[in-house]
Amino acid sequence: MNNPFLQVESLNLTLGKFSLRNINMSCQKGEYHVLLGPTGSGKSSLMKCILGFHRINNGFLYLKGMDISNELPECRRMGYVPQNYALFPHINVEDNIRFGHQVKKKSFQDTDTIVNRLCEILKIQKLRKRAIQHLSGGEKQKVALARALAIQPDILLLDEPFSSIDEGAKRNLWIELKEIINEVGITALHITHNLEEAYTMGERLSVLMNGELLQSGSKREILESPKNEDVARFLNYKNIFQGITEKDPRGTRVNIGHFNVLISKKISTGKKIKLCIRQQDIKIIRKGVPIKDSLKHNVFSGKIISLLQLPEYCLMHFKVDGSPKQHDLELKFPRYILERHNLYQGKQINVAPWEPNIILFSNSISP
Amino acid sequence: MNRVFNFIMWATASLLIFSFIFLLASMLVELWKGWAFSSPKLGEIGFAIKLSLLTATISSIFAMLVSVPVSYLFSRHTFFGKNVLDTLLDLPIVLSPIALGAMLLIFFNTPLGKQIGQYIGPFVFEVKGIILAQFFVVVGLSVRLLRTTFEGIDTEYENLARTLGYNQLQVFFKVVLPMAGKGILSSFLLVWGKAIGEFGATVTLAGATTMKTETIPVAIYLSFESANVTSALVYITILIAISLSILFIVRSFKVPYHE
Repeated sequence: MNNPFLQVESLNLTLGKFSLRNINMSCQKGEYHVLLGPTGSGKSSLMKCILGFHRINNGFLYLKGMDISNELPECRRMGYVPQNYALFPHINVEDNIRFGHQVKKKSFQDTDTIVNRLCEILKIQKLRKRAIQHLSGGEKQKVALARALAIQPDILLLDEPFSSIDEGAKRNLWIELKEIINEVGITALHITHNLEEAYTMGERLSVLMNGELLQSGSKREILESPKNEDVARFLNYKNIFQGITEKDPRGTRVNIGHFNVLISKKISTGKKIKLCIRQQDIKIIRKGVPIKDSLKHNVFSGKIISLLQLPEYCLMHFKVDGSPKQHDLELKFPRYILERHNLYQGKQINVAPWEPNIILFSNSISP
Repeated sequence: MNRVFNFIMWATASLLIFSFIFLLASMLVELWKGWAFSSPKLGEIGFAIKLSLLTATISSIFAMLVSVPVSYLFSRHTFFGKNVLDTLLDLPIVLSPIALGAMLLIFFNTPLGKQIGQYIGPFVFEVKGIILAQFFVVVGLSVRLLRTTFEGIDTEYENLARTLGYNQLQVFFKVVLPMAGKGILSSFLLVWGKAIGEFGATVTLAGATTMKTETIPVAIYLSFESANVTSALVYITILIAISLSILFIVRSFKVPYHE
């Protein structure tokens, strides 16, 4: 693997009662990296450290292999798009884009060519003479992006760039922004608390919670193998159980109390273990239809407790027969399943988790 | 209940506004009647206006020059003893101007004050004293007003300019000052208006000498002293006209950029 383009190494920062602790993270050249975390997790503080606005207590920051930990923000060559875009209201769109070229002691080959090309890529030629106050949220975002890219930075940092955009317009803009950044071919670090935004845009994700970087990896790695319960809960995964491993010739049986889950991985008996069955990985079993191998060892019989029909999918709460709980499993499936299986509240059905997708939290296995 | 509440609010507001209108109207009527008996000395009036405008302009410019860096510092940084220093800077706003003038008078009787007087020239009973007195009376206000202006500018603009290659000094001149422009101008006008109307500290430090340290408020005082009511009314009318003009201009400015 190549040397990381941006590397955060053992970074620590204390801000009053809040602290970032031992942050290690890296971005490869040309990668679109999303830093994901709930509000107050320290994402913006970490970004401000990378930009040079917070002086780190200890640790290192490397950009293109150079130590930039003590560099001033104006020397770091980083393009920044803040949450509120911070477009200068006293100058028009074009002057905002040119702003980085007007600083003394800085020479750019051809400002006009750069500005024209950015306006073309971002499709904002018509806005060039417009006042900032007369721009929509999406237009402001594009101007802020053009201004950040105009200085030809080494890396682009985007702090919740969609937070002030209408919910309906966001999805198109995610795709549009990703396409623009791909076209420009710049390394980007984007922070957000929005899972869909992170899934759509990120090639690699890092999950930051409560000042600690819990996991960093490819999108697939994070989605399919969250490292621990906290990451899984943040990813909105339900059906997290703790159980004791028992011997089984087919793998390992995890005794959760009122039902067992069979996993193919061999784990020694008597271990405490935490596992997660994602809502979308539980299938409804049709009576009289042969059951697939990955499902047949974990078929649970029970009752539909509630059905929630949302515009894009359905959520079901399911109670395993004999369980003392109000409900045991949450299922998520497309709306057409509702009619195909004639599902209704109170109906007795069989469900089964897709065994290969059952997530075992490795750090939860007791020694 | 709502009607009673609304009535109380409207009635109180009306009463207050009418009392102001009544005060102004009675003054104008008196001025109209008095003008027929004794016309005021135009030379003296001109001198007072010129002196007031000159001293207020100089003291306000100095106050702004000092207040811009101080208020920017207080709006952007946290440091040990900030609250104590902040309170100290607010002192001229609440302190009686006469007390402030007396403090200045005492200072110029100390060895250091005398030394300063020797180098720069005397302040006591001089025009320079008027400027100094006005400066100390208005500087607290200008710091307070400018701090509100700077605090209204999101620091993210400054951060962003830094990422574009601007150092702190360049950020201040290229981003902060242009964005604070309207706030600075309206603060200057309010401070200038307060300096024009300043009396207590001025009279204590610079005295009340006709055609020497006779600003408009001092002229009002001297006119009443010599029972020349018409002359006093002329000065009061001029002062009101200046004050109202300033207030109208300040109100016409939009609030600086807030996000």
